[in-house]
Amino acid sequence: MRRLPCGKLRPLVAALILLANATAASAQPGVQTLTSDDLARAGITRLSDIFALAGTWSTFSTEDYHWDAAPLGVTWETSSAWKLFVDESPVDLRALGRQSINGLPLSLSEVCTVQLHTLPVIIGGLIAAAGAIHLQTCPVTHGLSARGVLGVGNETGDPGPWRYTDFGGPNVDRTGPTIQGVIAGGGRNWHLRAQAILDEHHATDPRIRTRVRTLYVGEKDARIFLRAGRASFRLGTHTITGAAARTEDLRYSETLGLEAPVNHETAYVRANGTWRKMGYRLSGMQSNVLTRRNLGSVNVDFEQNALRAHLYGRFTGNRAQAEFGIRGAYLRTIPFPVHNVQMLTLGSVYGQLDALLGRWVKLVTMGSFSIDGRAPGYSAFGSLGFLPADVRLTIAMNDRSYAGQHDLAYWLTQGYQPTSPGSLPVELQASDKREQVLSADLSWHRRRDIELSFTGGFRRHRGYPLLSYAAIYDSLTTGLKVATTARSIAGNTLRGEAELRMPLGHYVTAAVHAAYAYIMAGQHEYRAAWHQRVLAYAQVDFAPNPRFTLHARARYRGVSNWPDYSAAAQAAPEHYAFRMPAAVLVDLTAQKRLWGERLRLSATLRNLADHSHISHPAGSRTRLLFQIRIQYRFEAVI
Amino acid sequence: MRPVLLVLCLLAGALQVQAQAPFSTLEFQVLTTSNVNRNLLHEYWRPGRGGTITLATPFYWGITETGATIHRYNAARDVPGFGAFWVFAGWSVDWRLKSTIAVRPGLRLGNYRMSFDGAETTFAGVSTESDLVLSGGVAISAAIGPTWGVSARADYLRVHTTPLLRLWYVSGGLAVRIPAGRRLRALLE
Repeated sequence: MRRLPCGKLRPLVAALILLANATAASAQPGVQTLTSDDLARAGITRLSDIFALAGTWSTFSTEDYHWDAAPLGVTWETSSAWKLFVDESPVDLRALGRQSINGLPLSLSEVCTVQLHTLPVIIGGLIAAAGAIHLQTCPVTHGLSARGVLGVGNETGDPGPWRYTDFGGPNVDRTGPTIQGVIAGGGRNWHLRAQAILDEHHATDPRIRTRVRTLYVGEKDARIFLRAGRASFRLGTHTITGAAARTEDLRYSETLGLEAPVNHETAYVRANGTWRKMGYRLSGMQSNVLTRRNLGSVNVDFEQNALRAHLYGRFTGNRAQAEFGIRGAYLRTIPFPVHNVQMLTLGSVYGQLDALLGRWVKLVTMGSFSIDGRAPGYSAFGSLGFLPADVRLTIAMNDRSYAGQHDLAYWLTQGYQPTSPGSLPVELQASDKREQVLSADLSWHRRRDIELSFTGGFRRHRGYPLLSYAAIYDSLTTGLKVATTARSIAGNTLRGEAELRMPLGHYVTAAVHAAYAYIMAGQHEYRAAWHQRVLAYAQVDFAPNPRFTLHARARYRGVSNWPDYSAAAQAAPEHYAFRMPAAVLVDLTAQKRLWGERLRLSATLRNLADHSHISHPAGSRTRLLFQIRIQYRFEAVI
Repeated sequence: MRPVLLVLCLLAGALQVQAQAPFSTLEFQVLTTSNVNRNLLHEYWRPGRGGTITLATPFYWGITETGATIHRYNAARDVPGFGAFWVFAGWSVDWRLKSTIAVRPGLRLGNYRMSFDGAETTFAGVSTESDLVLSGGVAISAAIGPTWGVSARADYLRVHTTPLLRLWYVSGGLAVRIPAGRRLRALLE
């Protein structure tokens, strides 16, 4: 009998496992799973475009490139609380307190699945109590392969010929080009993969341009320019990855009320692997936010080197799996204007148990004890699932020092002081310096042709490290003067979400999703931080043929309130706002596969109804946007 | 709402008239094009002559097409003249009135690139500008034998500048239809 070509089947098996996992994950409430097909069908050209597909994530941006995002029920001011993972390894891209997913040196063509967790979850031995985004890369196929994605976009509203008449206005934002390329080679026991990314975004909205032109030196246009590269080598179960990214940026700083001209440079080396029942993840990362020369004496310099190590052992029985691990991090930081090097050491030990109790109950539990700086703390997670009814209760607790998050609020308390001519010193009222979070969520799911799921939950925050701002309009620069206060605050929140997914005939599938957050009790600053409380979407996929699809999605963004900007909005309503009305944004994408599986073309109309929309008080006005995406894939078996 | 209704009407038409196998034929058209309407734009620019080429093929439902139009606008006042290059992809349905005469209503989505004469249009010093075009149109074609035909069409363009640029184009010219080769069909399918 002829033997099966196991080597050739390996990528197929890996893909099937991935697909099976994805299918299983998409069936879990609190997790939204997007496959590479979903991303292509929706015409996604950048990683941040994923948020346009996220049902329960509220997102805000000033220039439509860097998106502050957080699951509804968590404020974006503490967006660092949610975690970003690539293949179970945590990634920290924060700059000026914000985690911009576009800075990740990872080509979209290498992303096989994206999981958006809105409930607490354990990934790679870490409890992500405030949710997580988990990107899983595609396995390298046997032989030689090359993939690339090109994306370009143009927002409507340019003056065109009217520029030369009395009727024309200024140019508006342009998206891209976004160019991502990957080349890879792989055998049975190894792979080598290299990828490069170039991305460009022009923020030319008058609200931004007037602020930027009084500040930037020698730059014709306000633009963001990303260059990134990544290479990985796998031998057996061991992988080493190196990556570097440089973003010429106009990062909006809430503390300064302007777009700081910075270059954000990140570089990291990571090694991970397993040996028998043991595993390891080691990484070294450098992240520098360096201020470019400017007319306003703005300085937001922040340099950080981090070494991280994670060792674990995994033991599997018939009905249970246990994992024990130890994790440590050493951070060496130079925050402006503190020129002394600051050291921070973090360490934790943890144990995790996944077990089937009888036939019907599944238990996932984890406990972690940590030393953050010199302060002890703990995190705990428990999930109890009743399998026949598809009901799950998830509880997470966290009591740790601010140092454990080491986010912007923490570094401000350590003396970091971004400055501009109009900036005011940060007022520190964070006396508690400990963060305590308790969450409980109950979810139910019905798995039939018509899928239905409900999730309801409770969040209790104490000692929550929150930054609040009082922004005053500066008529000289059209910028802001901002007084920032760091406070420990407390409050309780209820949240709920529901989803319905069903086929409509042979060619059409439809989904409806809604999420709501309700602030039960809390201080004024806590209530004010929940800018948005209602999110919903309806989605229809029409596939008359497997090689051609139409994807339509209507997103409802509820009213968002920003009391911190009320004074500025009253003084200059043409530049700032403090209450953004609700909006319905409709996106439509047509996608066609050509040349077998080699070529995929998609054309997307975002904000089809051309609804003039602002997501941030100081942000640009979004109009109808047209995007083209071309994806090429070549594979050859050697 | 009107574009949605138009798409639904076209879709209903496509369901009834789909007869050819997808990508089985290629139809080339070469047309001469004129801008026929007059509005505020034409107080500043006089439309010159233009031309259009299109390539159409049967789709899973209806017909898909791609093409480009070039058109000249000469200065009527103290403004720079410009050349407009409209590149588009479209979808339409073929309604046969007789065996040799067909009416083809459809929608097009594309880019309108304007190249201004000796002028810098943007902050970055570029002399061109591109904007989205959504258009709807109707064509009538008559076959002259199995391969050749004549075609005339009218298109309404909304170029998404601010203010909106509204243009009516009429075109007329020759069409030739040939079977698509096996390789090309495999590429397109």
